[in-house]
Amino acid sequence: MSRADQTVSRSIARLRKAVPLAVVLALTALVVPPASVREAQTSLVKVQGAHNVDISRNVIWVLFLGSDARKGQSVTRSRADAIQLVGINTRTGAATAIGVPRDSYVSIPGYGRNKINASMVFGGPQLMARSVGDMVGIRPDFVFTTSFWGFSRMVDAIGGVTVQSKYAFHDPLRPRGYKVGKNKLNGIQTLVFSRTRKAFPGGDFDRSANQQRALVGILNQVRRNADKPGFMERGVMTAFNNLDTPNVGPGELYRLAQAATRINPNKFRTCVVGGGTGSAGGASVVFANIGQARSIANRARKDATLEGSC
Amino acid sequence: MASGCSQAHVEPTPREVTRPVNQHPTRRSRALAGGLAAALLLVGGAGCTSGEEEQPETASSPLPSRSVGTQPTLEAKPVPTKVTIARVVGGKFDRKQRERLEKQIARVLSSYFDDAFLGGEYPRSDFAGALATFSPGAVRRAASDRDLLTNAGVGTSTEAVVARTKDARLDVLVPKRLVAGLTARIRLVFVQERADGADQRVTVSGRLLLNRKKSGPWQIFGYDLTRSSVPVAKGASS
Repeated sequence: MSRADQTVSRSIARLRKAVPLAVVLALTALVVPPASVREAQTSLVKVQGAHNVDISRNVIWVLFLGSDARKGQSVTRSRADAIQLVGINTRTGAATAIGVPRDSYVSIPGYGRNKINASMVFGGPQLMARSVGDMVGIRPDFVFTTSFWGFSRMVDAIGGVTVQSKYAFHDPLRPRGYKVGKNKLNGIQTLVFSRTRKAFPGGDFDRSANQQRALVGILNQVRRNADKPGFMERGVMTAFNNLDTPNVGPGELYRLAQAATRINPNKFRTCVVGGGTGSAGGASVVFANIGQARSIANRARKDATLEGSC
Repeated sequence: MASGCSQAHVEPTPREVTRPVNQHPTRRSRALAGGLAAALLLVGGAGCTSGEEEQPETASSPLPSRSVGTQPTLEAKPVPTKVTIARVVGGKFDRKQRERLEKQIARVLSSYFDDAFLGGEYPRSDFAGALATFSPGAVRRAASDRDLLTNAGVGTSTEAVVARTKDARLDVLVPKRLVAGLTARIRLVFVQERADGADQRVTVSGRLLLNRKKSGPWQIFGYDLTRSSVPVAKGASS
């Protein structure tokens, strides 16, 4: 359901609530002489809504990278810990996230076969975009990279997020632990949720799925608060300070952020590229299911809408 | 935060209300009363600081042509577009910059309000330039929302439009000392006087998103608006 649809739905809900009151008012109007200054049927407010944002294209693909740089290390020249390719249809509000396991063993342009997250070390976000593009079949329009602490700050800046966890697990940074179902998390707890893998049977695949759950949580939080005065401006400012956004000026980032609020969580599909684990060059790797990755991409390429299963 | 008299105002052009005087005697008296009240208000507010647009409109003001050219037209009380910066996020923004921005945005919003709702001669069917202040992409996307974003849906059944409130509060994003974009929280209220006498008090409110490309003009690139209307009771002050 689009934002406009939601607004209309809310309006309908308001009308439903208003109708009984309107009936009372209408009956009152029959027996009470009209005052000289009175608006009739004030409760019968017809409200219609419209919402849209101009982005040059209807569909944009954004590669979100979480760098595992430690303090003092280059964020854009460290390995990528999180790799999420997200298509956004700003016209329909649909979105599709394709999670790429960071240990996917792929061909890196100019560097032979290696773990895909090594692309960042070799050639920064641009090479990372090419590697992901070659693997999945969609070249992203934008690449946003953030660090652990940048991600944590951004989540805190929007007031934390609520995520759906598939598994219960524990971490010292969240003494009460993570339970199955809804968890309201602050920035650092969301970071832990997005980085943990050993606690899960699916390891790297489950971690990627959790990163997508965090994205959904962020999206929900942003949508819930987008109309609060100053919320979007503060959020974009924090993103601007904590995201590496090559070739994207603050004005364009502001537009993109506003466009992201067009995503309807009910139309947000998430898939993690599957595969098997093994070893290559003495390292534990994932042999990603390239056919599956391209099938998802082919179906979602044009409209960021994914029909059918992952 | 700028407030009260320090708000940027853009005075409306007389085209805000165009109504042949003899059409509705009751409305005529209502408008006259409104005009008198407006005159008093204007005298009382003469000391307010206001935007450069408050200079009296000259004869070259873009008045629409009037098909009832021989008949005089009543003007309702002028309603200025009040724009106030509510918050600045990011860098510093001095008073001069604030005032300049408020004036610039007041001009854009005033144009939008006039083009889409208040201006022109009613009954009105031509809304071709109603979204002139929107970016090209936003205009394309607004195609299906024109009845909400303009008076296109009610123009032909409307005899006159009388502005009541034209306000906006701005949330401004200023990274690196330059404005990257802003949200204008608008509230436009006007009375739509209909031929069948079932006048409506219309409120358009919500967010308009604006930014500009380098030295280009400010443009509305996004919107999240609701439009509501309630009937105005007969005898009520519209």
